[in-house]
Amino acid sequence: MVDIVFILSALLCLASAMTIVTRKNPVYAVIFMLPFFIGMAILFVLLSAPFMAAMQMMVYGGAILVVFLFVIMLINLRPEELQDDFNFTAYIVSALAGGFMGGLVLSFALKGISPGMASAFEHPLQAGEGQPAFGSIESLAQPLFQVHLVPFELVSILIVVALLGAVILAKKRV
Amino acid sequence: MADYLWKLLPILLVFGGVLGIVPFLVFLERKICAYIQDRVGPNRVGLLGPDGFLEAVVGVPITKKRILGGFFQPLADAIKLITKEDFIPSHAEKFLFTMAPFFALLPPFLAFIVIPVGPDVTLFGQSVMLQVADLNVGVLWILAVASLSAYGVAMGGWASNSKYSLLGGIRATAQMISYEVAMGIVLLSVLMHYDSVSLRDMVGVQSAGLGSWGLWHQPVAFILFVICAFAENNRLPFDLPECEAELVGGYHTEYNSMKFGMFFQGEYIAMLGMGALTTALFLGGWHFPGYAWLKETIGAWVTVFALAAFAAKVMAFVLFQMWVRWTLPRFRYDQLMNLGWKGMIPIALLNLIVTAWINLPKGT
Repeated sequence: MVDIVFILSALLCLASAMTIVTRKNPVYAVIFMLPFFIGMAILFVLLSAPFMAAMQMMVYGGAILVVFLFVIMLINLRPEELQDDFNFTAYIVSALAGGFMGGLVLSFALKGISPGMASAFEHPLQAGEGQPAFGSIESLAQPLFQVHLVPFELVSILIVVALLGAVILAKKRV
Repeated sequence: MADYLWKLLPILLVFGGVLGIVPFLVFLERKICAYIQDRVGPNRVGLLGPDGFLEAVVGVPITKKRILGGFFQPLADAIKLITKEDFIPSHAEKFLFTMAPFFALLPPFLAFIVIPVGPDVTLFGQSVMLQVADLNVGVLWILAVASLSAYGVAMGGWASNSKYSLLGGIRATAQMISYEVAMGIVLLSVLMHYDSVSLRDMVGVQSAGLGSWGLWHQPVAFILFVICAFAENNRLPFDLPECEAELVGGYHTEYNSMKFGMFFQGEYIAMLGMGALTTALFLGGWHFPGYAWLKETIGAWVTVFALAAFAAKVMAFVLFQMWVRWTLPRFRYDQLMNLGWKGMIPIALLNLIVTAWINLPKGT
């Protein structure tokens, strides 16, 4: 069961990734990132990380992708403005990458992947007594806010600085 | 196998209930609108009498008086929408134009999965959970799914290849992103209060009594959440994506027949979903005053009352949304953005800090 779900979601990821790089129209490329992120979220669930799956959908599938879509829709390229040059290298590279990933999937499928991948929704992996379960929100929060608090806060300062920098760069009159 | 069959019960209950009630919400909306604007509203298509459904089947007039006049208008509308020609404008992007209504309809449905509609019930010796799935990401699932609902509107707006639709789509994406930020922060403070992300746990906390309802403990969060719910559903006073005075119909200007019907259904299901979420987070879920007493008096039959209480709360919220829609004027776009970024988010952050301060002893 887990194997089937893994293979289906991996194929979904691969197919939509191939579609993203081969679309001429950027709106279609952005739209096809959505099934890609959904596939990724399912893979996170299979890896007993449901919180990461939810974050994947909220941050990437929701916020970031909608902003991409917003910008590309605002530019709204006409079909004639989109260059129609056949990029042979892109096709070769994507075919190679796809073949490589397909081979990986196949090798996993032949070997069987079940032992490490219990569905996190049904049976969360149990840690020791008094310890939060692997992949749970608590197990993610404890290292972030107790063990590595200072680096974590420094990273958030870095993100704020980058955000302010982007605003200053984009705004003509400050 | 039997376990899976029992799983079907909450699924049928939730999804059947939602699908069954949507047509009547449309009828209710039109009647309430008419009442507020001092009109009669739909009163023709009924069961018996002129324009009645049975009359149409039989072919001869049965009674002179209209019975249930207007009540079957949703049925007539549905027949009209389904049988109408499914027309795609030649200048539209066919693939995305067809996909958009699905994206408008699916996410509101998915949100219902984690909402507990009633207490656990024992049927024929089998304990059944009246919730489709108690995911351990809980309320985050709803945020993840709600963020998807922007795609239907954005895709529909762009694929129609019309100025009005595109403007509607762009407005919708910007609006939904802005208010999702505020909603996320509001939900964080709610999570801190309940000390859990599972909606089941939240309703469990609230079922201790009327005083334990989230409404009293997180009043600021409640008000902010309701405002965000209006903005997320693109309902008046935040219905700028489809405001008919400037944009004809906004993102669904070019849609007709059942494709339009799916956008329409999606909107009403999203209203119900927001009502159900508000009920579970702030209004005590299926709990009602006197639940414990009634449970001792009539035993397991109390579940029926719990389900009715949940439905009543959701309907009250939906009626509130309709009432607001036909009462308030529309925001201007810059006012909407100012309210979102300069009003809602700072207040939500302040509320988060205060909640964190109050709940600090709980965590340590």
